[in-house]
Amino acid sequence: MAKVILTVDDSASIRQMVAFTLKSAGYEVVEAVDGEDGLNKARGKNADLVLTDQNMPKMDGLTLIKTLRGLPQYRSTPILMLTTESSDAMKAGGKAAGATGWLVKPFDPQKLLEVVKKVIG
Amino acid sequence: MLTSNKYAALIALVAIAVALVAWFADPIWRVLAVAVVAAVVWFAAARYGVACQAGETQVDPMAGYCAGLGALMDNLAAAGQVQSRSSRGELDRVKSLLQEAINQLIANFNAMNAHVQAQRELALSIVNGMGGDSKDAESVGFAEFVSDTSKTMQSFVDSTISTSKIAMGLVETMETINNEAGDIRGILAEIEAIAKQTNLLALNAAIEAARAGEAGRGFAVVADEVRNLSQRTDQFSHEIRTHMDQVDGSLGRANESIYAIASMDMNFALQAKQRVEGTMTRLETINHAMADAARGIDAHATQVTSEVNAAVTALQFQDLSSQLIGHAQVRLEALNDGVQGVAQSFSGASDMDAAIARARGQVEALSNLDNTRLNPVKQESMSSGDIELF
Repeated sequence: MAKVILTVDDSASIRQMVAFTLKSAGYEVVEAVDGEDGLNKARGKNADLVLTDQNMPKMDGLTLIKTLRGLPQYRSTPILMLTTESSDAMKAGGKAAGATGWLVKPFDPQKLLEVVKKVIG
Repeated sequence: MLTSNKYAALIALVAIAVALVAWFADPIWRVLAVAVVAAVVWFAAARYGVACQAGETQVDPMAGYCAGLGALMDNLAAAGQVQSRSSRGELDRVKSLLQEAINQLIANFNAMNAHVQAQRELALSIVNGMGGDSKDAESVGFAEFVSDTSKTMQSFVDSTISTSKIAMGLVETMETINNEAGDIRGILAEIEAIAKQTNLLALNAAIEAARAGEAGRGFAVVADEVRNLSQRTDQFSHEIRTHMDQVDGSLGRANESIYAIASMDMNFALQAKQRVEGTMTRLETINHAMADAARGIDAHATQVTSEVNAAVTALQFQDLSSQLIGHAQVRLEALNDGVQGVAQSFSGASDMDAAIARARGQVEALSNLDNTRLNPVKQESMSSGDIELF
């Protein structure tokens, strides 16, 4: 069965590009428009990987990661940050919140697939 | 701060004082009074200042400037509001146009990529199976087809040549048969001659028997039987000849057919084989060219995928630009707030010093904006960002 990836971003175009890239490689993609939506969808469907933006309305990426890490089924699920933020302070914050990796936008579809393959196979 | 009313009252008071002095006192006092009064008025104005008062209709130039400044500031605030609102609307439109265009472009690029990949699949299936699914056991590979056709042509040529050889052998056999038939005909002539002679002998014997009279009666019967035998022999011989003539006719026709086959030019078969082989070689060349073309299409499809990937990376400029536009809108908003604050500081103010102090506060808040709001978009180019796994 295809692995499920949850992509959380307030930008429709980024969601579309991420979904296109991952679907072409055979993954199932669930889209969420902000952190809160992401959290609800993560609860509804057990994702194998979560890919989230940082700056979003309602709930930001770091809060989403912290909340997900508090849920038993997401304790060890890979969570990647895909954001425009590139400062070391933010990255350290992400690491502390429990992120598996940090990808700075814009992403290269090929490289995104390589990273996804590396963390969930 | 003196209001303009108080300032006017002060001037009126000192004018009355000077008038009284001028009425009652000596000239020296009059001069002195004018000098003192001038000094007091100047001192009061310099020490406390003169402020404008709201709603005043005054001819005081200072009050006019203040009212003008207030009105100017109100205009500035209104103009700032209008421009800021328009700019915000325009930037929102830029964002939504970008969003729409990028969504469309991504869909286009995806579709383009999908079509190119489908084209690649088709090209590969044509080369692998010559118009069929390569996994289909029924479909024949092109190389196999060429080899089959070549084998069929070879067996056709071989059987044609062997037919020709057999026909030549038959021609010889037919000649032998003809000779044999000739011999039979000779033997028949011999039999006919014997029959004729026997008939003659029987006739002579009958004559001799008649001449011998009664003694020859028995011999005459024998001679008669011999004559009958000779006539039957002759009759058979004629029948055999008739049959032989029919056999001869049939043999002649068979001979003609066999000769026609034997003398047929077998080169046509060889030429046909050569032509088919030539065609096959050309087809094979075309097949190779097609395989090369399919590999070319394959390479192009791979290239298109990588170009689409690059386009997807580049198209993310919209996300970055939208964020930057959003930040520019926040700054614009702050600039407008600053303008509104400064204008409000002066609008209807009676105390200029306090108004300037309030306006200065607004300007400082505006200057400090950069440090209080952090812009997360640091990207300077569209090359793909760093990846770090913790």
